Formats: sequence, C-alpha cells, structure tokens
Amino acid sequence: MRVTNHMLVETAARALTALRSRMARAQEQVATGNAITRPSDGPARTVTALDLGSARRRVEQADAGAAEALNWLSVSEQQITRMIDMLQAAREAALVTGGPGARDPVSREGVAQTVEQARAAALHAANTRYRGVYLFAGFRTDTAPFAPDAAAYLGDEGVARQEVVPGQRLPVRLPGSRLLGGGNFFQALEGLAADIRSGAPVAGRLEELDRALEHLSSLRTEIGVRLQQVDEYADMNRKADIDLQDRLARATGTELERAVTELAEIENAYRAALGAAGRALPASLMDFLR
Amino acid sequence: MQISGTFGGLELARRGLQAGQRGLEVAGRNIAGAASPEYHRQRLVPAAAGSGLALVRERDLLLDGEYREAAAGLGLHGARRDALARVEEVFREPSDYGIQAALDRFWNTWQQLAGAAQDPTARAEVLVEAGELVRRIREAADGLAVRREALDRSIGLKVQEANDLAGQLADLNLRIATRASAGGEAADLEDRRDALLDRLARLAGVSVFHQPGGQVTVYLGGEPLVQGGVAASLTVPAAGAAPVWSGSGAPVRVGQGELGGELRARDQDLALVQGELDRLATELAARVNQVHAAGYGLDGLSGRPFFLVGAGGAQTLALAVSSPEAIAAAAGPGASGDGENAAALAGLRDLADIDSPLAPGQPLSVDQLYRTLIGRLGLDSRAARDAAEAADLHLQSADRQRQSVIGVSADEETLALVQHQKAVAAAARVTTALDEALEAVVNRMGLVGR
Repeated sequence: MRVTNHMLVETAARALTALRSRMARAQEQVATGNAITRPSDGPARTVTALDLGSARRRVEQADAGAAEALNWLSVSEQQITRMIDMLQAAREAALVTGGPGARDPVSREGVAQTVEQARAAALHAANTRYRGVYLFAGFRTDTAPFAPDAAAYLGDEGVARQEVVPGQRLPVRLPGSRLLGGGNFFQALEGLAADIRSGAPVAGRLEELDRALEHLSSLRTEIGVRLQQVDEYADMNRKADIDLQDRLARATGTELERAVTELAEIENAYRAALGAAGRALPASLMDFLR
Repeated sequence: MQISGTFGGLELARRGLQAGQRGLEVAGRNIAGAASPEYHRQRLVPAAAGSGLALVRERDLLLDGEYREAAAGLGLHGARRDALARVEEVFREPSDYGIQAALDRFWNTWQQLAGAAQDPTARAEVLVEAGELVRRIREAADGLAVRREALDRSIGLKVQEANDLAGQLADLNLRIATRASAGGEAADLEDRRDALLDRLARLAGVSVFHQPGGQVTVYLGGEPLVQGGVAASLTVPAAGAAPVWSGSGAPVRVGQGELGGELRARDQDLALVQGELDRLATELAARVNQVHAAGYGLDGLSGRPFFLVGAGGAQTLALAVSSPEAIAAAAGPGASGDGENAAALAGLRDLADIDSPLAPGQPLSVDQLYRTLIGRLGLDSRAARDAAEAADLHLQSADRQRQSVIGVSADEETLALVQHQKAVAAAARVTTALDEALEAVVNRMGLVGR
C-alpha cells in the first residue's frame, strides 16, 4: 500500500489524541478514586450505586429512629418503675395501720399523708412530660393525661411508633389507659388514704393495689422486651451500614494500585508515541539530495 | 509517430523538453498540495488522442463512497454521543447531589415525622427536604430544556450548512462543465467539490453519483439535493420541528450524519428522558397528594395537596404547603402526636404501581422509575460512545485506503523532480547536439572552398 505524508501525520495525530484521552480518564480515576463519574462509565454499576446509596440513607434513618425509640422506651420504663415504687411505698405504709401503733388518730394521719404523697408522686410520673411530650397521653401529646382527681384518662388510644429498622415500626409509648389496666390505682390510693383516716379496714384497697402492681409490672416487662428488640435492631442497622458502605465502594471505586499502574503504563505509551512521531515525520528524501 | 524532414529531430527534442517541463510542473504542483488532505495527486499519462501527454487526477469512486459512508456513520454516532453526554451531565449521578439523594432524604423526613409529629423541627425538616427535592427536579428539567434548545439551534445551523454546501456544489458543477467545454482541466475545482462532498456526507449522509459529463448528482434521503447546476434546499418549518424540503414541504429522510444524529438525540433520546422526568414529577405529586389530602394538619384541616404540578410537567413542580402546621401528618384531627398519615406517606416509597415505557409490564415505584431512567440514559450514552469509537476506526481505515490512492508522497515527487530535471537536461543536450549538426548543414553545406 502506498503511504503518503498525510497518512503518516494522521496516524501520529490520532494515536496521540487517543492516548491523551486515555490519560485524562486514568488521571480522573486516580484523583477522585471513582471509577464511575457518569452513568455511561458503567450503567449497571451506576444503578447499583444508586440502589446502595438509597439503602444506606434508609438504614441511617432507621438507626436514628432506633436511638429515638430507645430514648422513649427508657424514659417510659423509668416512670413506670417510679409508679411501682410509689404503690409499694403506699402499700407498706398501709400495712402498718393493722399493727399496734396505728390506732391513734395522729399516727393514722401520718400514714394517710404518706399514702397521699405516694399518690401525688405516681400521678406526677403518669403526667411526665419529656421533650415537650406527655409520655402517657397517646397522640394527645400536648395535654396532661390525668387531671388531679384522676377520675378518668384524658388522652387517646394512639400508639406512637418509630421505625427502628427499614420496614419495621415499633410502639415506643403507651397510652395512659394501659397504665390503668389493673385498675385506677390513683382512686384506690385516694380511697386508701380516706379509709386510713377513718379507721376503716384496708384489706380491699390493698388487694386493688396488688392488682395494679401486677399489671404495672407486666407493662414494665413488656417495655423491657421491646428495649431489647430495639437494641438488636440497632445492631442489625450498624452491620447493614458497614456492609452497604463496602459494597458501594466496590461498585463505584477504583482500586488505587491498579489505577496508578494503568496511568503509568499510558504515560509510557504516550512518550513512546511522541518519540515515534518525532522520528518518522521529519525525514524525507530532500534531506539526502544535494 | 513519424519523424520526418530536416527538423524532425528538433521537434522530438522540443517535445522531450516540453514533457520534462510539464513533469516538473506537475511534480511541483503535487508537492505544493502534499499538505492539503483534499488535494488529489495528479500525473501525466500518454494522451488518448494524438501525441503528447494528458493530465490525470487520481481518484477512486469506490473508496470515495466508502469514505463518505464511514463519515456519515461517525457524524451520526458522534453527534448522538455528544448530545447524550450533555444530557448525562444534567443529572449528576451517582452522587450526593442528585435527585436520588434528595428523594431518599425526602422519604426519610416523613419517616422521622411519623415518630415525632408534635416536633416542630421534624415538621420543618419535611419542608426543607421537600423543597430541595423540588429544586433538584426542576433544575434537571430546566437543564434538559436548555439542551433541547441547544440541539434546536444546532440542527438549524446544520440545515443552513447543508443548503450552503448544496449551493456551492451546484455552482462547482457548472464551473467544471464550463471549463471542460472550453477544453481546460478542472482538477482544482474537482478537489474542492470532493472536499465539499466529504463534508456533506459527514453532515447528513448523502449518496453521490458521477454523471458521464463530469457532473455530480447528490441524493439526500432518496431525494435529489444537487442535480447539475441546481440545488434544492431544506428548511426547518417551526422551532423544534424536523427539517423538510423547501419546495414540497415533505419531510427529509435524514438518518445519517451529524444532522441525523442530532435529530435522533433530540426527538428520541432526549424526548424520552424529558418524558420520564415529567412522569416522575407528576406521579410523585399525585401519589403524595392523595395520601396527604386524607390526613390532618396541626390546624385540624384536611384535604390539602402537598405538591403542585402543572401541565408543563417537571419544570412546574412546586410545594403547595408553606407552613409546618399545614403538613398533614395526622390520620385524624385534634391530636398533635398523631403521625400515622406521615407514616403512610413514608410508605409510598415502596409503592410500585407506575407504568413506564422504560419497563413494560413491570410497575415501578418513584425511586425505581428514577433509577431505571438513569440506567437507560447510561446505557444509551455508553452505546453511542462505543458506536462513535467504532465509527472513528472505520473512518480512519477508509481514509487510509483513499489517501493511499490520492495522496502525495513527497519522496515520490522528489524522485520525479530529479527524473524530469534530468530529462530536461537531456533534451537540452539533444537540442544542442542537433543544433550543432544543423549548423553544419545550414551554414557549412555547399560552401566548397569558401
């Protein structure tokens, strides 16, 4: 095949252009650490990257939710424990009235006051506001669930839920009505104080308190179980996040050693092409004629 | 060739001198044209009629055709590749700054609100992320519109260029015919004409036929663009429309070349992307609005939309809610801690019931629709890139083949120069010798004893 000057020039120019664009690409990969900077670099890998990125953000959100859940559940558990403690204290104080030192009105008044203080503390616990939210009011989080006479529950039956793992929402607060599942112990305590003052028998009231205590205990256990669940989910989230991070890096990242080696190879090829062009192009017959 | 008479020898020498000089001239002309890729090598051959030499301009019609076909292919795929690369830039994926990330955060804020409906910060965050999502979708839609306008302009310019080239070709046809009928040679005009044909092929993909008289007929999409001295013309009837023939108004069947590539990029590839982005915006708005309207805000009101979207699609997407209290997080009125409607809105993330031509027979969620769109864009762009690369190699190969026939080798011409120079010197020598011989005949004969 005849080779003309133009062909030699074209060959050199095209080779250099092609090498330069390969060099630019290799440089970009090494500098950014990304093998995929636009969808056409790897269409399937791009979609995978989008998928994994979304999954990660979702897990992050669920993890934040799990932290919130732990918060609400812990505080609820604390307040229920408080109520249990108060009921126990009232019960013990009331037992005294069956004994020898409790016949006179003065000591009976003392016990009655202890019981009333326990009731107030328990009511305070039931009306706890945490971060601006009434814990035991259902969805009516801006109104106290129990009035001072605690005759009825003023909140609603809404159960607040929190997503703790993608796709799973768990209850994190109880409506106040559930506190009264073993009976309205506020009224029982009020009645107990009155009975103690009047000297009436208290056995019935103590039984009411027992039923309430049993119920509150089982509520506390329920919350305890849920706390454990959330802990496990939080752990799952952490593991999932690490796994997703790893997969994302593999889908879109460059292996640095390979990329650097490739860049060096291309640079060498470019230099060689320059040298070849330098030798082939200038020579012509003119140089050798007189 | 009969050489007769006393001066026959001189005549031969003269012809030899002339041939040498012409050879030098042609070699010189070739060397001058060596650097120009459009120059076709010329050489002297024995003339068909009578004696003397004729000038022949090297060409190969078959190789010309192959070159032009390859050029049309590169024009097509190169234009499509460039247009799609610009479209890809609009979306900034994969990254934290694209629509996918905004969608993720948007869904996340609803999930957060579901567990904290009474928290003003959680409400504010919903508006912030929704606002960002709207902004990114609109920005992408605007970017696509800008790309479309750029393609419109480019197509208009290319149509003008095609008309311009056609006019020049018709003009060259006439001038070449005039020169031929006057008995002259028209190599320079033919070089120019071939270069214009190459450009036109790359521009729009044309078929070229050489007529017996030396004229060239050019067809575009099966219709004649240039015939003899007459050039047809194309026009774009309205902004954004496809080109038509000026005379008949019939659409131009241009599927090759840069023009074909840009038309395909605009009317198929970009149109699809714009359509699906619009679908994303309208379906997102419709689904969110439906659930949102069923819920209650802190103000106890219900039945309100969350997004607004007009007939203009993604470019008109906007938030309908401006105050946090109006966000319908609650499933029922009156309870500020009720986030169950927010939970339902967060659940829309996984609802897959959108039909799209991107995934026939497979209903998609909003997120899936977006990912499928990006995946498709990546595939098309990648395919165009690969096709352009292959077309470039093809063109290189066709160029080499053609250059091998029509191109100038400086070394060859230098040798020719040397050769012709020697021939001239030899002819001059012959002339001198004959002259001396004739001198003896003319001046010395019959002068006995003078």
